[in-house]
Amino acid sequence: MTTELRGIYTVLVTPMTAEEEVDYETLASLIDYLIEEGGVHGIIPLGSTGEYYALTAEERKKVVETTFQAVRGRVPVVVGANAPTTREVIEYCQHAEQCGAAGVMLAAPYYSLPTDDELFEHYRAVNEALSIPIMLYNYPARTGVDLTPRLIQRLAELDNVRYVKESSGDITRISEIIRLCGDKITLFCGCDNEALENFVLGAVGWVAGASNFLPKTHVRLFELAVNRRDFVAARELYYKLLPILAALEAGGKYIQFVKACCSLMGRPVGPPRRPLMPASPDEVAELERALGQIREIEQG
Amino acid sequence: MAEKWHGVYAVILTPFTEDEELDEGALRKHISFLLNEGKVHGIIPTGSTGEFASLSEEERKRIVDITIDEVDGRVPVVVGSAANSTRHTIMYAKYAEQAGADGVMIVAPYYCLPDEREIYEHYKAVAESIEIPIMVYNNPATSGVDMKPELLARLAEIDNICYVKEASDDIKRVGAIKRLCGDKITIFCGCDNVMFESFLMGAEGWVSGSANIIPQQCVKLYELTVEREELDKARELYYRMLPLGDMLELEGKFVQYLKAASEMLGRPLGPPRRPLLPPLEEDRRRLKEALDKVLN
Repeated sequence: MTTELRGIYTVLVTPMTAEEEVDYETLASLIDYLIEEGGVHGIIPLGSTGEYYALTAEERKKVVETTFQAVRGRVPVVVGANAPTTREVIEYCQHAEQCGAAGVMLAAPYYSLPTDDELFEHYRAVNEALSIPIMLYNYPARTGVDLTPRLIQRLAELDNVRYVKESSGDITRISEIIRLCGDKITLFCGCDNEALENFVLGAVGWVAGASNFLPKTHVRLFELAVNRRDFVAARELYYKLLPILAALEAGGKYIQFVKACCSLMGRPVGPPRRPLMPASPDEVAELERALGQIREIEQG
Repeated sequence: MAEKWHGVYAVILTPFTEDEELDEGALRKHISFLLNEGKVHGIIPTGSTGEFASLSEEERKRIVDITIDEVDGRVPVVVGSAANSTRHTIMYAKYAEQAGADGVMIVAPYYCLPDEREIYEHYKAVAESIEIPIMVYNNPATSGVDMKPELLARLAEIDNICYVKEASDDIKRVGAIKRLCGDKITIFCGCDNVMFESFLMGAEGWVSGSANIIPQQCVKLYELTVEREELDKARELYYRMLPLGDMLELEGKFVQYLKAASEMLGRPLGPPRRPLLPPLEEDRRRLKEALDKVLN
């Protein structure tokens, strides 16, 4: 059996040139920085933060391959493999497995609004097509469907369904999933401004978009909260981190703002792909304020 | 300027074989049925009902080519050209224009949750890339963003944004859009259970999923309501259509039910593409009942 995934998993931005072409070189150097200097525990290409939905199949393949080349086995790679159809998801999952992925992260197929039974059959078919762990990813605002704790409980009976990233924003989901699924599911926080609450309730990982630009602070928070169980020190750090996390989650512009923050922290990754647009000057100023003292903490 | 679109536009199902591959023969047959027997006023391939988000680029282009060829200029063809990035939307819209489409229908980019400024710039960029009319399509449930009448009024200022398909399910939107946009935009109802009300409030067309299975009744409803203003007769027909319309709109199985119903009526179009699945027996039984209410 593979080792249990835990810790800070950076769900990578996909760097782009000014013409919105994928910038593979910057992607590789970002990954190297996150592992070497940031100390993150895992890497996730092609999550929502990585704008997977806006990339072609060819671009996605190349992002995955670039990621594995840059990671060089130093940390586990969990590949975002979602798509609107079961057949495409299986294709992406199998490619990830062949590349050596430690797992795949799968939101619900979007746009088609599948029912619970259709979702179950979807994940069952994917489960049968691969032999690495699946991290379910619940984000109703984007996909239009809600993987409820009850449905997750059903899905947890599938061999490879081992992890859940909860991004609904409803903190009560965490304890409910833990109660319903017990040891069958390991929880990852998927909502930045509920991270400490997640850890306190039993999550042992964090799929963290803001760790693209604040990796060390994320790792330190994880150390304090999960490894050392020093919740008082963790809380102190968390409150310093919260203004920027809340700005990311509350603005409805997560991807745009994460990319803007990468620039503010000195590692520009280009614009998002339209229709998403770079943060406006006012928004950038607000992000700069929200970063505040956490900047020095990260750099110091 | 071509004649303004009006009437029942069938947003067509995409026929698949049992192994979920595009069934080109069935697609041609379906279009020919809709035009020859159904007498619908327009054809829309690769909309939500056509499972566009589940098709490859190659499949989408193939469907556009086949549709335009099969329709052969008899009615307008408005091509669903949405994608979740601006660059891919432009690519599909240009493809449709070059293939000979009369217009394009474009839902807001899904999954990425753009704000109003991003939505506006998206449509503006697409509009500038083509010369044929655009039908803006508001479907908050699938796209995740809601284009309110105020935003639609801004979009209506763009030259070739001439139509809106309203599928938010909020009947008050029709009146609000009408008041805000006046003649700048023509409204098509985008739901299968509020079309009568929409027509009465000034919608001039209906992008209809039901037209795939009961095109004659759909056209009849339009004629009675809009052309002949025989409202008592129209309402009587409408109430017979509503059980089906409600099933389609309220149970979250729009495509699944339409494909199953088409099969029940002797015109099989195959399964939906997974994750969507053919409906179970109990649902099929209720679907049959709803169909019987319209047909008998």
